[in-house]
Amino acid sequence: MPAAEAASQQHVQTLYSDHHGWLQGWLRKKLGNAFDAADIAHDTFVRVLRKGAVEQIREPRAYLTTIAGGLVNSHWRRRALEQAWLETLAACPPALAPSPEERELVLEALEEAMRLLAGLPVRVQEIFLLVQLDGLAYAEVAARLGVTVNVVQKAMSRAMAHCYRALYA
Amino acid sequence: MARGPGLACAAAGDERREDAPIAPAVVAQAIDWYVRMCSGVPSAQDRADFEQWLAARAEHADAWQRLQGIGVRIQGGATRLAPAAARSILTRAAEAVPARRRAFKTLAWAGAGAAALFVAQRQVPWRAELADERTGTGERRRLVLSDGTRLALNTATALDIRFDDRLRRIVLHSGEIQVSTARDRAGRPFQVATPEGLLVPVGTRFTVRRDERDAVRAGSATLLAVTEGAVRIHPQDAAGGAVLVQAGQQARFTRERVQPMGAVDEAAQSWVDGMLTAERMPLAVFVAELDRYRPGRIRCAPEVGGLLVTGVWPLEGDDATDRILASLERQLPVRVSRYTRYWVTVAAR
Repeated sequence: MPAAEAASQQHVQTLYSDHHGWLQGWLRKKLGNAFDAADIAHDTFVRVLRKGAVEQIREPRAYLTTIAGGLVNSHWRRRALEQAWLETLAACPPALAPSPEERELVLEALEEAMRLLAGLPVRVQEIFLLVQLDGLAYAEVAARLGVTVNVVQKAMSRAMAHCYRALYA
Repeated sequence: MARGPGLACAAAGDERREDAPIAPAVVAQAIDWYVRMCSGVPSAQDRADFEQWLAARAEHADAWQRLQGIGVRIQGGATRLAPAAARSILTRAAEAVPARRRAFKTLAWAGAGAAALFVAQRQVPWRAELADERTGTGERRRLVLSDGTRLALNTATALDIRFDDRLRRIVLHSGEIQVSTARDRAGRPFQVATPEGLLVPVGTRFTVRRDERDAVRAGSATLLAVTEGAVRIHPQDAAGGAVLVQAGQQARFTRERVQPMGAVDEAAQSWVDGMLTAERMPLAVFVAELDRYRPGRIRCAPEVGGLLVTGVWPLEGDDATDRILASLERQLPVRVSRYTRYWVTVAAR
């Protein structure tokens, strides 16, 4: 449908010229850094374009800040992950460290995990990860962290409910 | 959107769209089941009750599938890292982020809808990968499949889960798994395939280990140890047909033939509980076992290969094999030489 596509293109262009400067300013204030602000403003519009249906956007600035806010969170998650990655793998021999391509894939997957878990207390996350990643039985997790099996069970329920809400609610 | 193999399938005659909303009460029940099935010790009664719940409504199966998907997403990043490393990275990062994020709390809430949408779009490639499970060297993992079957994966294991409407099939490429099968409500038969042949269990718990270079014959072989029930072996090229292995027995087989190996070696099953166990095991054999859990190579000098080793060691932690090697030095008249981290020799002191 080339006609519809052209119309949609037109909507995106209007959205861009009307709000791009404003969004970049908003992001600069949040991030305190013009380079990241420019990057994320760009990514925001790329994402809007991919989603399509631009003509149906009623509150463009609210919509843009919603998407940009998600990207800002992701940006910070990624920074925290990269830092934690360096700290953790600094202890490993270099030959064990994944290649740069593999590193990207792993970081991306870790970011998805982190986004799902975001908002849970770190202790609950740790319990959940000991079960999910290390495959430990609840009794083993409880012994390791010095808590009761009941605490482990509660943490598991809470983490699953949290992830479910993040994905489907 | 295709369902991931190995995940729940809808109960017959109860049609619903897989992305249809699921009642919160059903989600809560599914979470209760998930938490119980992941405990590491669900009882036979639990499993039977779970089966019944899962089969009762298609909505149950869908909720279960979503929860399984969450596990896969969480584990996705860890397949290329040691679990301890992935966990450490995630918890460190989680500790670092909230301070900066606080100002965005409202925004994060507002953004949740958009984020969920985006995740939903990205879901497809993940699902396609769902069926292939890997563990790295030194890594162990447990899975609960949609039918309630439990898998424990030992170090350096690669397998595919291929469940469809007719068959539940696990394809083991390398490594070792313990399988505790559940009875399928749809009556689909369960199979484990290795390049050497096919294993068909009869309601059961068993371990399958595949060695690319079998120590005895220098060819590849599969070792089957049956703890409960019985398992039928169909070697790939055998003209003679199947061999039934009963509980308490083990057998090794190649593409051509099956060789009974006597009683199950209980000690060899202890990896499931995160332990390496040896009972009067020749050092050469013990070192070959240890080698499986460690990147690089560990060699045993022939003059000490016959020394007998007895003990139980935890496999937990990144330095587990180092701790075990140190304990060998204390226990036996041997010296462990590390040329590099990846080249270790155990020789006479």
